[in-house]
Amino acid sequence: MTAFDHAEQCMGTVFRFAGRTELGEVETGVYIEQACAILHEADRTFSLYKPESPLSQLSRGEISVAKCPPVVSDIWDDCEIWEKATDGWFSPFTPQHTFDPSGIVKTWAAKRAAEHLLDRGITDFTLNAGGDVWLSDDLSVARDWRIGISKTVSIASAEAGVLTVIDLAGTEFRAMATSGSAERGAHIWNPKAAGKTAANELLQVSVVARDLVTADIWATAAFAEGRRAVSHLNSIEGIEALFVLANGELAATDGFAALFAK
Amino acid sequence: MRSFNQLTPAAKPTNKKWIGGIAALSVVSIAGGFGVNAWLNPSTGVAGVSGDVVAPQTVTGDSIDYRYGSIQLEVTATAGKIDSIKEVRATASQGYEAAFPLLNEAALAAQSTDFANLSGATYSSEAYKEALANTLSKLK
Repeated sequence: MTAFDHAEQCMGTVFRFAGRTELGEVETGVYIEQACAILHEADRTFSLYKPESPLSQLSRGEISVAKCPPVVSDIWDDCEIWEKATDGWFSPFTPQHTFDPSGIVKTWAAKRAAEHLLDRGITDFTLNAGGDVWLSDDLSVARDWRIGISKTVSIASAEAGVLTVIDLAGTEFRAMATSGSAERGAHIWNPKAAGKTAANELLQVSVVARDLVTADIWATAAFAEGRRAVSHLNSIEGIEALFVLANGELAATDGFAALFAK
Repeated sequence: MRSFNQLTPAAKPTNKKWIGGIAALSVVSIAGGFGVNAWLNPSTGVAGVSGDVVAPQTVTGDSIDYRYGSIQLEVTATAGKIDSIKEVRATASQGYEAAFPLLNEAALAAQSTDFANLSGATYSSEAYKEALANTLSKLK
C-alpha cells in the first residue's frame, strides 16, 4: 500500500491530495502529477493575474469566447446555469461587466483533478483545494471523513483555530466549501448592487454538498446574499450550511446539526 | 392585507422551539381578537348557519408579524367551534440565531474532534506556508 500526501501550489493557493492506494509509489506519483497538471492548465487558461491567459485577453476585449479554448465556453455556460440556480447571487460578471469565473474555476479544476485519480484507480483520498474539501467514496480512515471548519480568522494568524468539526461518514455529502473574508479580504462582489462589496452581514458560510462545485457556488452566493441566505439555503435540496453571523453567533440550515462530529 | 414575505431575514420554516411561543401567541391573538373573525367568518360563508349537516371548514389566517418573526395559522372549525389550529408557517427572524444555543453547544462539543482537512475561506499559498511553519514550530 502506498500512502500519499502531496501539496501543490497553484492559483495562488495550495491543493492537497492525501490518501492511500494499492498502486505502487512511482505510479501513484505519476498520476498525482497528472492531476496537478490539470490544475495548472486551468490556471493558465483562466487566470486573470496572468496577462497572456485566454481569459485576460477575453477580459480586455482582444478575443471572443469563440477564440478561447472550448473550456472557456463550458465554464461560461456553467456560470450562467449557476447564476439562475442561485437567483443571481452567484455571478461571474463583475461590476465592470467583465467575465470573471474565478469563483468557479478552482473547484471546477479540483473536481477534474480528483476525477483523474479516480479514473486511475485511486479511490481512497481527500482533496483540499485551498480550504474547499472533497472526499472520495472509499475513504478507509474515519479521520478522513471529518472536516474541521476554520475560525473566521486567517489560518496564518495567531488566533487561528477550529470553529467546529463535521463528520460526513454515512451521509450523501462529499464536499465542503467555505466562503468568508478572513483570508483574502473582501473579494466577493455583490452581483445585485453594482460597485458594492458583498453584504457585510456574514463573516463566513460553510456549505456541504455532494459535489465540490455545488458547495463552492452556494458558499459564494450565500456570502454575497448575507443573512437572508439562511432561509434561502434552507430551501435548497441537497445542501446544508453553517453561517457565522457578524456578531459571531452561528446559524444553520435544518439538517446541519446532524453533521457535527461526535 | 399582509402576505408572508419569503425573504424575511434569517427566516426559518416551522421550528419546534417556537411551539411554546406560537401557542402563547395564538392564545393572545384569540383573546385579543386579531384575525379570529377572519378565520371563523370568511367571506365565502359563515360556518354553521345553513343546512342540517355542518361541514368542518378550514381557513388560513393572514401572516402576523411578532417579535421574532411571523406566524400564519390554519384553523378548522365546525359550527363556529374550533376543531384544530395548525401552524402553516412559523418563522423567527430577529434574534433567531440567539434561539439556537443548542447549535452553538453542538458546534463547541464537536470542536475537539480529530479531523483530516480544514475548510476555510480560500487561503493563499503564503498563508498556508505560514500556518505550516507555525505548526511545525510546535513540534518537539
